[in-house]
Amino acid sequence: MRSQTNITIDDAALVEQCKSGDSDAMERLILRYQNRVYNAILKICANPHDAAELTQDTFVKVIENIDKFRGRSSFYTWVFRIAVNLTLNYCRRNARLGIRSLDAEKNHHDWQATTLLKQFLTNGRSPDPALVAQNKELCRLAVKALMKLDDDQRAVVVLRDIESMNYAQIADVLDIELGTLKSRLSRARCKLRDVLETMVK
Amino acid sequence: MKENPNTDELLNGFIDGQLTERQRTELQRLFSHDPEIAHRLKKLRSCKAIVASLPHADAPSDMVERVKAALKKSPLSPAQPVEPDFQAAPGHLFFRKVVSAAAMIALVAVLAGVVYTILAPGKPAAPLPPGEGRTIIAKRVLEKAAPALTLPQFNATLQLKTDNFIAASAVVSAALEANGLVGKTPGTSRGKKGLYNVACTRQGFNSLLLDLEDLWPRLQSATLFVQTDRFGRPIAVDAVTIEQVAEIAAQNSLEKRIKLAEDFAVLNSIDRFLPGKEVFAASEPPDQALTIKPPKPRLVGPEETVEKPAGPVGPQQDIYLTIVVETSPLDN
Repeated sequence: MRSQTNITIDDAALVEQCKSGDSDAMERLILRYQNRVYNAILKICANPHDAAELTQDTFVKVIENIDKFRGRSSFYTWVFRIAVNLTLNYCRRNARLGIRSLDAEKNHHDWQATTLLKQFLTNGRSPDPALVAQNKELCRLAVKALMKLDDDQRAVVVLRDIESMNYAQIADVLDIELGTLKSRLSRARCKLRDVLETMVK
Repeated sequence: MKENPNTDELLNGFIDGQLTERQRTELQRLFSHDPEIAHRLKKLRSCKAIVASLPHADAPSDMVERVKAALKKSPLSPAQPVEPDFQAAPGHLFFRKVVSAAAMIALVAVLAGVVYTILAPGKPAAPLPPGEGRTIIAKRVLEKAAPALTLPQFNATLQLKTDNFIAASAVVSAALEANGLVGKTPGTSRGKKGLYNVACTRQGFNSLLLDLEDLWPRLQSATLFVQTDRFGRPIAVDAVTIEQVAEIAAQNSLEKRIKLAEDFAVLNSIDRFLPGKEVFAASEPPDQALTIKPPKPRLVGPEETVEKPAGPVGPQQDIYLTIVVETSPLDN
């Protein structure tokens, strides 16, 4: 908690420096959040190239509108609000155009990965994160299951389970009520569970 | 136990650590009594763990540079403030105004020229004095027919019938000689037929026609056969006048030449059947009627010819005329 407070204070200082035209402060803000923003966007859109473009657009909008940032919310959630909005708009646009990530459309599942996933779901055993990360096929299955969710549901899951935001921050980023967030997250996880169970059957 | 949305929300809140102490205690008591809820909790926790275990991806290492580059392109970029170029702006605007004015003037001039060409009335032709002779008419036609542009080649045969073959041949020969035109083919002695192949320029041709003008009233008939590309059949213009010959030759396209020859052929034919009557153009009022009176060839006698400078003969020749002087049946 202490380190988080320090980060917040640092953010505020950097934001003020950035407002006064300090390009070094601008660079530091970008470097501080670029990986987290990129990772969250990538998990939502499932396309590395587009994720990079969206991350770039996010920081461009942040810099262009930094004078409008009044500090009512944290800079961190403000950046993520911009990032998630851009990404959800991208997803909706692609949905209209019928564009889907090729990775998400692959239908042949690795036997070892499905067995491992089945063990996790059947036995209720919590998976070892290192084991999951090493198993590319398992990761691919998880990403594919995520892509089966609605865009809004996927954003909630990513912000909670990957970015580890608390409910209040997620509600702030998505600009929704806390009750709406809870029900959306609940439906998202139940659907995710159903999708994963369907994959291992 | 049937799935309850509120229970699912509580379960998700539980695994996320977002419940109050009291909610957590009650839920834990529920797990101990209902294994189904406990199983659902495990599955949700596994799902969460799987998603959370996805490897973290780092942004491209050049993200800062990309953002800076994008900011430079952005018009709202604070790194690239948009400042008007006060030094260049007035000069640039003045140049644009001058160019625009020049373009407008040029456009108006072109449009005025076009409108004038369309709407301006043509100069009325000076009325022909009643007593003015054929020479003046021929000169007008010939002046009008002066070659200003490259005109199509004129191929024709002019058949002149006379009851005084010797006199007519003498006039034609003298005219050709006076204009320096070569290529004469002597007439056959028995048939009293003279054939003259003339290759000359338009200027030489016009000069030749002027010299033949006095011969016309003494002929019994004059027929011009204009060569066409249509089935190899020439258009025969009977009772052709010297002005008509000049005008047909002066047309600047083969189509116009053929059309004019056909018109003259019809008009001359009508005039022959209605001697002495005026032929009115259908589109013109009677006071502006075109009076066409083809001359009736009549041989009076040889006239003295005037020495004329030789017409140019050379590479610019585009008139190929065969003059046939032959005796009429009455002369036999």
